[in-house]
Amino acid sequence: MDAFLLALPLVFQPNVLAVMAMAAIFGLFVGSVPGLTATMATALLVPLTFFMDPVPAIAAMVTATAMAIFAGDIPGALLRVPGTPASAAYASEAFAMTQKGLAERALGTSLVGSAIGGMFGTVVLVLSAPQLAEVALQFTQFEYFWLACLGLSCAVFVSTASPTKGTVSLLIGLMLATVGIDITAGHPRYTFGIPDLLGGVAFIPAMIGMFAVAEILRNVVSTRVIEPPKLEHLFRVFHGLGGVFKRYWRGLVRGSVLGTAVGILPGAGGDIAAWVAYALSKKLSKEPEKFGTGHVEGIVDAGAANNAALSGAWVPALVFGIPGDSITAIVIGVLYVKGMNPGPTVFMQNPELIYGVFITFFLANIVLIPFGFAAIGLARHILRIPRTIVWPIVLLFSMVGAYAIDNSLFGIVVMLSVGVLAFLMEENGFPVAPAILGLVLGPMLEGNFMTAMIKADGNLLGFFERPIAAALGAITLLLWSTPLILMAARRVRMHSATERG
Amino acid sequence: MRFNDAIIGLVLIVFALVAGYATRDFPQIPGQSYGAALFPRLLCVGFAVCGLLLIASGMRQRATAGAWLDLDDWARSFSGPLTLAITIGGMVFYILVSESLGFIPTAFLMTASLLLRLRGRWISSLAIAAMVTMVIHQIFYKLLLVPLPWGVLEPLVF
Repeated sequence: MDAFLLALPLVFQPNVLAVMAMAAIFGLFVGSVPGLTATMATALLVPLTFFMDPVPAIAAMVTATAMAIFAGDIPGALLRVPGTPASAAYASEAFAMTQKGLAERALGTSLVGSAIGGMFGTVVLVLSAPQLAEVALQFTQFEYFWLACLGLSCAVFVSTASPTKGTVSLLIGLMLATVGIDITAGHPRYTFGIPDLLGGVAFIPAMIGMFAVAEILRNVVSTRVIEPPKLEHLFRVFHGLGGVFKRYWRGLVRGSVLGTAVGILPGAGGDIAAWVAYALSKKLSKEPEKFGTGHVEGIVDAGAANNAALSGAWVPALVFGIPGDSITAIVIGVLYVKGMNPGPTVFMQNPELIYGVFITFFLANIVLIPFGFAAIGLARHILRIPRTIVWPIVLLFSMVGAYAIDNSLFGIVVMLSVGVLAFLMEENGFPVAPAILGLVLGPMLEGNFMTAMIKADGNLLGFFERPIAAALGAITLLLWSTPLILMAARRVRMHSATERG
Repeated sequence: MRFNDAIIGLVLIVFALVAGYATRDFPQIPGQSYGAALFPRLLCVGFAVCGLLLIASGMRQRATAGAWLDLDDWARSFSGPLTLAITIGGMVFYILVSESLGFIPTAFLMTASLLLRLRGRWISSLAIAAMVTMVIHQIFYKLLLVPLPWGVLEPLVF
């Protein structure tokens, strides 16, 4: 409670509130321009927030992402083009509502659903994180090693249809993390004699490359033309919402719970949460035949789920320093660069910081309603901005941002190289989320592994001697063997099928 | 621009061999039989295994009429690769000359050429490029105190 009272004045300061308001506008803009994602909003904010204190810096990112995830629904509903991947699951559904003249109902539902989902995820975060941190304080290198393995494996399995490609992406991230002076022996690895690489691949430029440059490259070559819409003025956004939520409150709860859970899983964020929630909503619905024809039920579930996931992702991030999605991966990477080690010790040493994050989350989800309402009203104008103007601006901003971290052109070199690599990866069906998690967790994974090896004197059984470590290790090994078991099962089934047939 | 999995698999295996070979002179931790090379070598093994799996799946693709390289619409056209070249070329140009030419002229040229390529309208593109360059310069140079180079505009510092 003391920490909570200490945190209040940290957040309720004119400059922090001003930063949040500006971040909100930025997030709404980024979210409603198709191609600019919530992750990209975070990546672009980093160079600006890098120069701020921790609380306003985190407040800016939390607010911007909450706004961006909702704002992605605006072009989804009005143009059938999701503004961020998190809105993709129900963009056709919302667009079908628009065609029936129900655009206001669709957007109002997703706005209020987003705020409620986000609030639910925040409550889970506030209630669970301090408890989990108590447990995490007991952890040694063995537990952290397995936890990092588990987190990275989750990221591989949830992010793509092909576990092999997900694994390659993860390995690329981990390999990039090995560049620089090695932590245990002090030897420079893969630096090619370039002094700028001794400290490792600069994290912030790498992540701007991965999420901004790759996205820009993909968009400038795109042949797809998006027609600017002819729209009515939208202002009766909240009309009739009471009825919607009264009727589908189960979906609201289901979407919030599911979204939070998916958010907590490392590597899975709002986009996956929305897909799963929409599919589940259809499956459990009394009238599944209406889905896809402009039916509001799925939007209730999925709209709540993607914002809930955003908050949920902060649980493992704050407690263990293991990011729950790409956005928290960026935040954690930035905290490391700033010399703050996320993990349970922050709860002991700077509890007011943690409570500051909690308060920020509540605040962001409350102001989502008025800001989101304004964004819907202005949608006609925002969607008319030609995207061909947006890309060059974002590109220049990214370059200056990558330069500003160390005032070094080498930052831009890193940004460009990683950007081209990420572009090629996505073109070939390799997801980038595991790579960014690998880059963030690489040093932690290797550091804990090497220290644990020394502690256990090279005996791998030492990794299973402590009870929690043994449990985490067993779960990880089970997860790793799942694809093999599934493959074997498929073989057996195919074999018996051919014998029968 | 989709390569057949087998080609990517081959690239990964070659990478694993080269990166693995580079670990040969990484030192060991005193008193242990492993050291700085252990983790990268494990990763290289991972790369090689994934490479083999990708080659296997790529061969299966080939068997069912998949091409070695599948070009999307944008890559088959003339304009797509040209835009890509201008975007990447602009960044390389910035890296090479911004220190000597200065932020404002370099950023203006880079932004203007990309805007022109994407929109094709001369006057508005140049105006937007000038405005964007100045706004970003103000934000980072004045507000965040990032020492963006002045280059040839050194006498005009403001």
